[in-house]
Amino acid sequence: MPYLKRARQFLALAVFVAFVLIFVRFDSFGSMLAAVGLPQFAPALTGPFMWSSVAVIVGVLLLTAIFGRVYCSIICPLGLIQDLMLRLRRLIDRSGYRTLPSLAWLHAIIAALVGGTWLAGYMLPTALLEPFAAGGRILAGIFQPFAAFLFKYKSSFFGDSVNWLGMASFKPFDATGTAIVAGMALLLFFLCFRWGRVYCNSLCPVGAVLRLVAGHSMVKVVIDPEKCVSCGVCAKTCKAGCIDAATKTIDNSRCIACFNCLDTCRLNGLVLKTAGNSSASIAANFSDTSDAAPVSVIPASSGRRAFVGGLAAAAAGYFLPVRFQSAAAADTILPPGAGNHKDFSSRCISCHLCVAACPSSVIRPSSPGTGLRSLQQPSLVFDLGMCEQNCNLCSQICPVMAIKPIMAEHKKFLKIGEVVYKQNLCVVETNGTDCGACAEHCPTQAVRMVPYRNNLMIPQTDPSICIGCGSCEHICPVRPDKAIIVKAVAEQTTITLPEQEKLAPKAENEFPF
Amino acid sequence: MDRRKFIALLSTIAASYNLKFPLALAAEEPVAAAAATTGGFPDLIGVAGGTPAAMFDRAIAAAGGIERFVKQGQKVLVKPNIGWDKKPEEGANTSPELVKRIVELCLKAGASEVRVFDNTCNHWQACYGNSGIETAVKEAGGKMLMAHEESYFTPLDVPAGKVLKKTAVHQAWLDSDVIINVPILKHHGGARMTAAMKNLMGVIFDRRYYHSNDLHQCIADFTTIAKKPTLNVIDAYNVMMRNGPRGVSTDDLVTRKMLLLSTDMVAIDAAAARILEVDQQEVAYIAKAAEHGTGINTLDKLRIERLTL
Repeated sequence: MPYLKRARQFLALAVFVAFVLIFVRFDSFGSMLAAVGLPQFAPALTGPFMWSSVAVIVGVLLLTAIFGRVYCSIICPLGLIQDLMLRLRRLIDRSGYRTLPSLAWLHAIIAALVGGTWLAGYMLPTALLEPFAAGGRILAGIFQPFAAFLFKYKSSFFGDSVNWLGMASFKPFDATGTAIVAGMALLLFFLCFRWGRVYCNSLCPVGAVLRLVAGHSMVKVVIDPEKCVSCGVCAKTCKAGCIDAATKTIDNSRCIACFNCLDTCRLNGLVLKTAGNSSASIAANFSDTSDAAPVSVIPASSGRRAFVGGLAAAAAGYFLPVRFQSAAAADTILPPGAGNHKDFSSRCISCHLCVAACPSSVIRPSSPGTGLRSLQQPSLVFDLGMCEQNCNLCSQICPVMAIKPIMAEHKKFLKIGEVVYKQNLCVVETNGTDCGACAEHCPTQAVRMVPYRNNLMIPQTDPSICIGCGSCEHICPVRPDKAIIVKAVAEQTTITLPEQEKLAPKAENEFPF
Repeated sequence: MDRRKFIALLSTIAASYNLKFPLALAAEEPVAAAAATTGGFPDLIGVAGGTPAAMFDRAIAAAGGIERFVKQGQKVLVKPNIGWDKKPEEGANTSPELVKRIVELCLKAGASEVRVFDNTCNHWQACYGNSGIETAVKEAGGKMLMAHEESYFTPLDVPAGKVLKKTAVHQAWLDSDVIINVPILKHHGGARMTAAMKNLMGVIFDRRYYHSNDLHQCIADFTTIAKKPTLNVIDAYNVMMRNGPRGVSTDDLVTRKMLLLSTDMVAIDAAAARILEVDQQEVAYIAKAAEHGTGINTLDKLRIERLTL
């Protein structure tokens, strides 16, 4: 049945291309997020309660109960990235994959540990292992800056032909951010190279949930022991390493439903078992064989061990991070709608969708210096732009609502930081010439120019009406340390602009010259 | 592909890459002589009492018609102020209606192409969109150009500059035959006033250099480059009297229903300062540009035509 594998490949490619386009050029392709972002399991599970999230969770579990883990082969961005890595692997090493042990107990413990830390509001383990976030970081940290590099430096070469991809915008490689992501991608590539999709069956928390259901799915690949001669050809094509040719068994809980194995057997020993044909011929075959039990490949003792270990790990995950709570960094400027550092750091899964989508490139992965708790979580840096007063994009797209939705009108007056002016560094003071770039860009006139010596004008700040958008910091020409910067605030609040006196109307049609 | 074909292909690519270069050199020569000779026409035209488009129609007629400036087959650059992510009624960007009218007239006069851009302060897509200028230009048959990345700019020496010795100017500035500078008159926190000369900060790439190296002198220095605007048109319909150049609310605006037109960007700025009610001495770049010989800042010496609709 080659069409199954082809269909899987076609759908996976479509979803992967959609993800790449969304993360590389959100301005043009962001609307596709509704199609491929919505069915993501972990954001639905970790985000706030919504009926749509419940529908997604139930939907994915049902899908898995019927067709097995097609989620891992078609919907999961990290699964698709791994398949891409495995394509590379095939160029180097054509020897095929090895049969792997179940590792169910390890998987359960790791997933439970992640779950426990998530419940405790300590998001780092979730951020590191959850596949939507991990995939998003690779797309935002490597794919996007690479595409931006091509557009930026080759725009004269490509000319207008790149316009179909949207306009080039400046999304640079972020030295530390990209290094961390590249390191993790390399680690993933190493795992893929050695053991195929081992991440999905030992580290991935979503995989851990789905494998509980997938083992009993209605549609699954099984071995017909009558026909199988244990040659092992099929096992070599199994990315999940879940086919054991020696015992003529398939661990369907680990099968990621890629259907690569189906057509490899010349003896028709691999069969796609569905609810319809299970009772008939194949089940009859199975009942004849006493040594193989295809469905329950995890021995009961292993299941018990996994359950107890998982429980302990969840408890450890829940209670241990209390030790790190105080380490929450409070000196980063959060995206508009994040509220405060505690709320934000306990919700954000670091998928970097906001990093990829921010039109001004001010949302970036926090530097490692801000502490483990907020590692990889986004914060604002104003070297490349300002948080545009009319833009509320990040608050509209956050999949877990760590950045809560805010209306555009509200955003204009939402205070996310506060201005600090250093007169001793200012051009007006040091050069004795007019500048005013900060006041020029300030949307609320929290920085304005007032008369100074020698007929000069100098900035004066009013932090109470500052929204912390970073316009002043962005445009300040002073180097290396800017004369005006934005510092973090503990809680995002709303400012009120003072009433301005009305200007007297002027007589029309009278030329003043 | 054999080696010979490969080499041929390489050299074709290399040749096409270099093709732009001589064109850019040729375009650096001063623009049409029309700008230099005013003929029998006034030095400065002020119109009051109409819509921006109607006032422009009147002004350009008094200046000898658009055909005096735009000849058949010429490439025209229209440079409005599109600096801010603001709506037309907020008075931070040039009136889209005015830009549209200018683009239409240029095309009617036989311009081969009319292009419009600004190196914006806010995000360029938001500025182009919300200012209404992108739509207006497209409706009129013009073309919006991108100007947000350094690759669109070409290094340029400013031999007569006192502080600004070199900068990078948008490629379209260099390869256009006619340049129409269409600023909106506003208060400006740093430069005191933004009108014709200040608007040209939107055609260069590195504005921070201006700000940290005597803003007024740099603005004046840039006006010394060989290629100057053919025509300057100042939109003074709604004038931002304070909190400029971005503005906090429409309370910062006063309706003046005026429009200025001149080939002399110093003269037109001197007149604009009167409308904005700032002392010309405050706007130091006007005197500095006059010193450079860019134009005349003494209004008494000008032939001014004042028209009311």
